Amino acid sequence: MAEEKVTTTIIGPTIVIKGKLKSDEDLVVRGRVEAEITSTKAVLLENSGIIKANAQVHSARISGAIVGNITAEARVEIAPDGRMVGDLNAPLIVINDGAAFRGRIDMPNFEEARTVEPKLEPTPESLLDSGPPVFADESQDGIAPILEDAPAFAAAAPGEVDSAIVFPPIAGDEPVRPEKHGKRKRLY
Amino acid sequence: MTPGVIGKGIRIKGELRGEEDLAVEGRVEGTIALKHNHLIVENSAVITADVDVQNITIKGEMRGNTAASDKVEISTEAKVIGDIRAPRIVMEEGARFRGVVEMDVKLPPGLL
Amino acid sequence: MESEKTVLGPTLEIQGEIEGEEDLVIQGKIQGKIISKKNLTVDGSGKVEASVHTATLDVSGVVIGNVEATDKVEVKREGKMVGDIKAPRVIIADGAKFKGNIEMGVD
Repeated sequence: MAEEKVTTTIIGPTIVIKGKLKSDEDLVVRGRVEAEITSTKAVLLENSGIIKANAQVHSARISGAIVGNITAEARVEIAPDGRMVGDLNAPLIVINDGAAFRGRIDMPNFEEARTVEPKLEPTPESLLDSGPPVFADESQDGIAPILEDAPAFAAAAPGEVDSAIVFPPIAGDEPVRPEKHGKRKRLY
Repeated sequence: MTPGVIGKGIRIKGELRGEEDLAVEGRVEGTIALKHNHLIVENSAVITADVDVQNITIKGEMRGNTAASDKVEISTEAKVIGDIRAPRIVMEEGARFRGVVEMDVKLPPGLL
Repeated sequence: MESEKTVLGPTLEIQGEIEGEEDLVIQGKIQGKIISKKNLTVDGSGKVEASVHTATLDVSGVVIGNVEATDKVEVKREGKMVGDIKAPRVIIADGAKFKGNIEMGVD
């Protein structure tokens, strides 16, 4: 089995790159990159570094100056000495105290309910109404909590099933017996 | 200064103004002005308001624009929609935010 | 004192211009223009399709383009170059592949 060597590119302080840059390895920027960056790994913009371009990356840590938009698959962190003007789009964003940022922030999956906290919905018209605050997991029209004995899921079942309770097929396992007896075609 | 508290069961609609630190655990809709103080939006709070403060710590849900003369802190559990203008901003990992952030950014000469 | 060195790794692909005042090692793919005031090295995995201006150039990979060096150009045994060389000193190692014109020593 061929051993994959993990490399890191370091762009030194006197280097200026213009144009387009594509990378499948971590990139440390200490110089000036005026090239559109597309990377499947991390971009680390160090204090002396400057990026004047948009970047589409896996993750980024900004300690230098960047004018451009960053779209990251995983995470963007703006360090205390980081300065950014541009838009950020990432599922996880950390801005440290001292960082300077100006731009738009968007997060994919923003609306997804947290696993821990109940989803809170403001009810502007009824704020003065009597009654305790309504939390989504108690309301009728909120997202129904997942209970262990929940009836059929919406997921596509490969075959027809007559019994009332359906368990999604799990490849490789024994066919699951439903609680109720009834005619049932094999799901797989 | 012990902050004032707006409890979980309280809902306010209108203009909220004050000269003391305030922790909100309930719901506020309208505007909040605590220009020289610290506003804490607790975990259970739901704020639908524009806010003008010195400092704000958001741990709950907020929809509205924030203007802070000192610092905005958005905690991990927070969910914020709206624009922010402040000289200092801290966003913890996991915080959910959508909006425009306006800060003074000092860039190296000739960059912008 | 450690001299600054930039290494553009094997998975890097750059289209455009690279300028630098430090040693530069290329292990990836560059298309465009390279201007270096120091030593430029194209490693075995490196592929440069560009015009090159440098102090020195060492080629163990592939260079396609014209090269102007103020000091020296060396195409190593594993190296391959297609293009013109203009430099005071030129070394083409035994086994190296080269096609182009060479202009040495300016009078």
